[in-house]
Amino acid sequence: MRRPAPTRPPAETDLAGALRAAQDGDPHGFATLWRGLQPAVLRYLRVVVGEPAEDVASETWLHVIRDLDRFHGDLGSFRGWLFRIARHRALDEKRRRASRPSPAPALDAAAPDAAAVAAEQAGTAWAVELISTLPADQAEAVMLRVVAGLDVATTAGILGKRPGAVRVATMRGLRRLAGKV
Amino acid sequence: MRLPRALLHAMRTRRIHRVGPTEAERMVAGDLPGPDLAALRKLLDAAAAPAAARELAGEKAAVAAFRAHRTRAARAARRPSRMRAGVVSVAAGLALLILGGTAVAARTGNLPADAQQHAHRLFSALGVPAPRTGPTPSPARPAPTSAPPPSPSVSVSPSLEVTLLGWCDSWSGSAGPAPLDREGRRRLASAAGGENGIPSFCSRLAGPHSGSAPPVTPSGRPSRSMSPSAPETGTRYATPPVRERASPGPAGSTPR
Repeated sequence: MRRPAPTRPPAETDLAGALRAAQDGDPHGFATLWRGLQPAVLRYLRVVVGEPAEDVASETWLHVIRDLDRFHGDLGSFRGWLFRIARHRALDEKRRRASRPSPAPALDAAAPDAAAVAAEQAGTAWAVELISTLPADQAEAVMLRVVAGLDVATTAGILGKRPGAVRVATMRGLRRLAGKV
Repeated sequence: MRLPRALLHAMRTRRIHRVGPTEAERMVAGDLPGPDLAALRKLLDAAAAPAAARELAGEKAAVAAFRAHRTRAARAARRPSRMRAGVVSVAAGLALLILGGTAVAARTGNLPADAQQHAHRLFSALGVPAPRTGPTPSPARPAPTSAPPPSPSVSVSPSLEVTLLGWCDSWSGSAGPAPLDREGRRRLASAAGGENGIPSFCSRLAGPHSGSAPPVTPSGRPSRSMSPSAPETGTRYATPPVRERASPGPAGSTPR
């Protein structure tokens, strides 16, 4: 099952089917689900937790894998569940880091095809970086709604806010971003 | 060319104030409410752009973790049925002992007359000649409750074990070209008690479970001739293998 890394995101219907397949234990279904949602998880975590986003994303997926048979719901609620777990894991990681001295910075940045990677990701990395300069509540609201594609109610549930507060945070975040670009 | 500061300020202010509640919601929905928000549109589109190859580099490790967990979950789901089998064995053994004891007592005529009569009726109904220490070819001795559990010697929590299995896969390269990152390697080494311990640690961890072999009865235990046909496939996903940590529940539960 060697496939070229797709850059096209799986369609929503693909993902809904993939979710059901993954719940039935199908690794291909899980792979499709992961490919469809991992980028948004990673970008969201980069805004929330910064550098260790990839590790935290892995922990998030391990949690999902572990509890997937206890999850009941459609793709929409799965997204909400996924980002809720990601946020919890990110907050755990922040607490961990706060309680121990930070290790030496990783040197992985000097990958062989760094230039290609940089060109490929420049736009996204720049955008995510810019969003991460917003106040935390605005940054999270923008990422969850724009990048993760969650609705106001789901975002509010994840952030523990009222829907109105999420709308306001999103608007303020966008207003501030408009002033930066 | 330099624009007067006041003009710059006015432009900026005007642009910023164009993002009201309506514009914000339209931007979130992917619209472009006005030409002056084109730059913001571009930013948001870039943030939500399709995946870059680099972002998908961990796919193999993730799928390997998924497979490993499914294997473990299937194994864990079998455990309760084994336990049931054990209970059945113990109960059967106990019953035989009592029955045997009664039989001995009945044979030597130590039972009260009523009980003696009762015992005879009971035994003849079973087709068992009353006096014999082992009334039937014993299908099961009392279960060896002191037998060591058939678990691997590496004792780690199941969820951690899945993580470690993923790391072991990455470490050994069996999960594909994605190598184990520094942090993962460090954690794996600390779990294995040092870098040198990783190979044996990983093989111990994977060893007893490796492959998708059918359930094997651990050697040294009596065969489960009495074990009810276990509904293994039915219970496979019914029993959550781990529940040691409070997790954010499926949709609907309140966070934190």
